[in-house]
Amino acid sequence: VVQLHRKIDLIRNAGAELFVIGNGSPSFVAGFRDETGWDGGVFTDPSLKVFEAAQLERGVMKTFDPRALGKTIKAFARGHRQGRTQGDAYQQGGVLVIAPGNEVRWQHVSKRPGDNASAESIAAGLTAGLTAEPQPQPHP
Amino acid sequence: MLSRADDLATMTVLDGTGATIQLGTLWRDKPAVLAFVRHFG
Repeated sequence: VVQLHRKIDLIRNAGAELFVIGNGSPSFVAGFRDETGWDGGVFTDPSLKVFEAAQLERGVMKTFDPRALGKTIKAFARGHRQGRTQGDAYQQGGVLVIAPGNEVRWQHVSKRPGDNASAESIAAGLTAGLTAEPQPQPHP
Repeated sequence: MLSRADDLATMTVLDGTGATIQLGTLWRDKPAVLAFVRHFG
C-alpha cells in the first residue's frame, strides 16, 4: 500500500490527477471514501452514458475485467476489506488518460477477463503515458 | 470528426451530493487519469 501511494505520488508529480468514476448512485461516493480512505475525486455515472462514450464496452476494451482495478483503487488507500458490490455489477471498466485539448494520451485494457494488470503496471503505464508521446495500447 | 475525448468533455457525472460536474473540467488544466470502475466492494 505504501508503494501504491508512491505511484499515486508519481502521477501527481507528473502534473496529473486521478479521478475515480463509478456507476452507482451518488450515495456510493461516501461509502467508497469510507471504505478506501481515498480522498481524491470520486464521481458516478448512473446513466452509463459516460461509460458508453468512453468506449469501455467496445473493441479491445470489451473483455476488460474492472474488478482488478477496483481492487487497485482500494489498495491505493488502505486495505483489502471486502464490502458489498455497488453499481452495475456487469459494467465494464477501464482507464483513460486525457490531456488538455481533449487528447487521449493512454488507455488501459486487459487481454482477457482475469488478465488483470498489476498495480505496478497500471501506475507505470499511467506515468509513462504522461511523459511520452501518445501511445495507444492495442491488444490482439 | 469529434474524438472520444471531445464527446466525454461535454458529458457530466455526479458527485457525492448529486451535483453535476462537466467531465471536461477535470482535464482542462492538466492531464486527468480517469479510472472507470464497477466494483467498489
